[in-house]
Amino acid sequence: MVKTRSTGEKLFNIINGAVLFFVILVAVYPLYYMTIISISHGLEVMKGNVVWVPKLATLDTYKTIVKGDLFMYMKNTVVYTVVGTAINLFMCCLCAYPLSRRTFSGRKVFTTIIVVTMFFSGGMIPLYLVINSLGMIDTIWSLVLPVAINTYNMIIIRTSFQAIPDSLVESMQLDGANDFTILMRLVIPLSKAVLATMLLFFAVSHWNSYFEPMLYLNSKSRYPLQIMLRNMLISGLFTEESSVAGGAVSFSVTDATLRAAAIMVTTLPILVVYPFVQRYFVKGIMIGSLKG
Amino acid sequence: MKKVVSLLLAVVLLAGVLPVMAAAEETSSTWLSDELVEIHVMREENASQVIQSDSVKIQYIEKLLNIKLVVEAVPAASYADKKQVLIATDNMPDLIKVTADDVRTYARDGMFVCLSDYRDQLPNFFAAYESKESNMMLNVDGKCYAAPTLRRPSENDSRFLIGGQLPVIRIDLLEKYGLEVPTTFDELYDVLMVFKENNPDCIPLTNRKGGSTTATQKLLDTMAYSLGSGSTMYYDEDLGGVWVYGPANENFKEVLRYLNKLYEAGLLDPDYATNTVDLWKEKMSSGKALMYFDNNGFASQFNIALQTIDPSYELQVIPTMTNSLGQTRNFMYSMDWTDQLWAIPASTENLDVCLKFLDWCYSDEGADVNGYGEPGVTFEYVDGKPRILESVLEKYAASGSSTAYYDIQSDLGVGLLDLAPYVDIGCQVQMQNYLMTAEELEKYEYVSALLEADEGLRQPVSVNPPLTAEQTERYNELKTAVVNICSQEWDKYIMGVEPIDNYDNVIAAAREAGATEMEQIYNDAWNAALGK
Repeated sequence: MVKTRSTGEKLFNIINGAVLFFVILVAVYPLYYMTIISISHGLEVMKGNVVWVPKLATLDTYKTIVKGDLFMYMKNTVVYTVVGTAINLFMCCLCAYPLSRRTFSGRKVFTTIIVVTMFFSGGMIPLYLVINSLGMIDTIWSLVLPVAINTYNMIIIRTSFQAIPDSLVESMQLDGANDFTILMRLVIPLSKAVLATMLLFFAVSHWNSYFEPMLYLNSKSRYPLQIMLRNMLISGLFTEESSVAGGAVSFSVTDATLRAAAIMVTTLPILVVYPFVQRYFVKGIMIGSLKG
Repeated sequence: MKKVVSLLLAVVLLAGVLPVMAAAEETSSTWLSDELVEIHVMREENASQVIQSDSVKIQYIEKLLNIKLVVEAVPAASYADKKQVLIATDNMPDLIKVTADDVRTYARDGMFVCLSDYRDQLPNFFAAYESKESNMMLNVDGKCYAAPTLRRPSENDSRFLIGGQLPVIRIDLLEKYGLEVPTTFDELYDVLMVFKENNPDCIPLTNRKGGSTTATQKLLDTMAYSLGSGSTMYYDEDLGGVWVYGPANENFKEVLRYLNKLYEAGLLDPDYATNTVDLWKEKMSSGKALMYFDNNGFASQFNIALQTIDPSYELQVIPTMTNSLGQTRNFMYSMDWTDQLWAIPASTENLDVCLKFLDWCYSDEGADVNGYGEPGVTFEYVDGKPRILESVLEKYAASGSSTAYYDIQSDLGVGLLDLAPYVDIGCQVQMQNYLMTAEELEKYEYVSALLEADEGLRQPVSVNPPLTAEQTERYNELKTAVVNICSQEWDKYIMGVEPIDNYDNVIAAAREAGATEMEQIYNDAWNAALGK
């Protein structure tokens, strides 16, 4: 028997659909707008003609970005992200595991000591001096080692580890496994969801990292993408210096198109990765948030 | 046996002398150091012009001076932060680009080498530095601690680069409606009125937001001086050569009166207080707005957009107009870059070479190399003046790149945006002219001649007087109060919410809050620096 819907239900569905469509539009349109701006002719963007579809489509803006050693910066960013995330996950797991075991005496003291670092830090200048004295200036290590452990994320991982029953751990101990084996063979495999979530958090953080590379790196050949793009966005083309350029500027590329293309280049890789980790994401977040 | 020993000794002697002779042959009289020295230089990099570590200039300097320049090019957007950390931790390179404020803040702490103490080693630099009295404002306690970026006086078409925050108007509409170019602000009002009558939907005069200032502040920054006052603390020659806080002076009422007149008549953009850069560009390039007071160089860029709508549309700068006080005046951009200075940190291990290199940069040879690259390879001397080779210009023009103008300077490593304390703009001008069509060049020369002949255009005093630490503290304290009192009121007067005569109350409040003392601090410091 086919259930007939009442007028009220139909009306609700229509309004519901309309509202949800509006919500989708609000969420998707900015990204779509950036896309069409980035491939439109600068003059059309400047005249305010680009709203729904690209005008005089051109890839000049992307060519401008690529010309500035984009791939070198991109490669650096990928290296920093991969190495940094691997170190983050490894170190956070190493720290979280003992703190999650009830048998570990003094874990509350250690947890307190670690939590204090969330609220107090030495400050920028002392940190710079430490990194400088360790000889890490202008190396990848200045970007990945000082942030090896993120306290907040480590606590989420610890909470997730605590959910693993002690009996499982004890059974492995009876089989002769040491703590490292238990961590690698039991705890981590059972915590894939939270680790996938953390992986995304750490990766996004390294990918977007701008301030540390700016401070600690001196050689341009080691700069990540974010530094180059921020410079491009803030310095722009439409500067006082460019004012003397007379008739030499074609205007196919303007600040607005450049800004849009830069946003696309930086966000696209993360957007591509996100769907693959997304199925773990919700679960991982819930584990961390429900159990304190 | 003796013969053998003698022979052996002779061989040993020869073996010892020959490498020395060979080494002597390898040195050059142009070298500033017997051994190859690495000089680390830090400056900001503008996204428009990439600083290359192996530019023509850097390679040539290594051959010529035996100095290897290692440029740490920090993105301009992050430069201030990074510089502060390096200064605070005393981890500076051998040569660092700083601002006048940095010099005033850190020189007394001994962070930078006092150049005045090495005066005899810096003849070229001091000749250029002391050629302008206003440069003395950069001294700290009467001594020079950093070398400002100066424009090299030359005949290299400098008139092509005259610019400022000037009136730019749709010149085609003046012709269309049979109007003369306005010579006074009253005539400008009439012209804008005709524009409005014939184009009711247009915005006769618009503006933009400043980099870190509001749109109202930017409007006043660009117009107040030519209307007879100033929007902030400025040096007024017409008042007898004194520093004046413009908005707390009687003449500022004339500025507000005129803007109010435009606003009431619908001639000033009704959104003048909230305009953004993007909105301004949109209005100018779509033909909706017909005039602005701002960087005249943008006109040529807007014209490209406008002429896609109608080839006859044209924005053009007009000569300085006379205000209601009978003054014909406006500021052009400063010819030097006195807030871009080069300092040698006291911690450098290469002081001697750094001093020699800095002085070389201010020599004719240094300015040629920093402005044109390598002689014979990228430039030649024509009638004793450096000129970029035609073949080099052709190469960049043929590339079809929309940024060829910057590409050439980036590859050669020359110009203001590279390492050039004594700037020769020849390469920039030559490339710019080469890229223009004959018609564009003719138009450009016409505008340049117009500006050159404009007697109302003045060089601003771009260096603030050197205040002591106590003066700076007191000045900033007063400034916060005075600026707040004035700036909050401007829109009320421009929009006609308050009658202009009531602005006397604002002036009185500002004076009471310390505007007079602010002026006094500046004038005292100015006179002290000049030894008056």
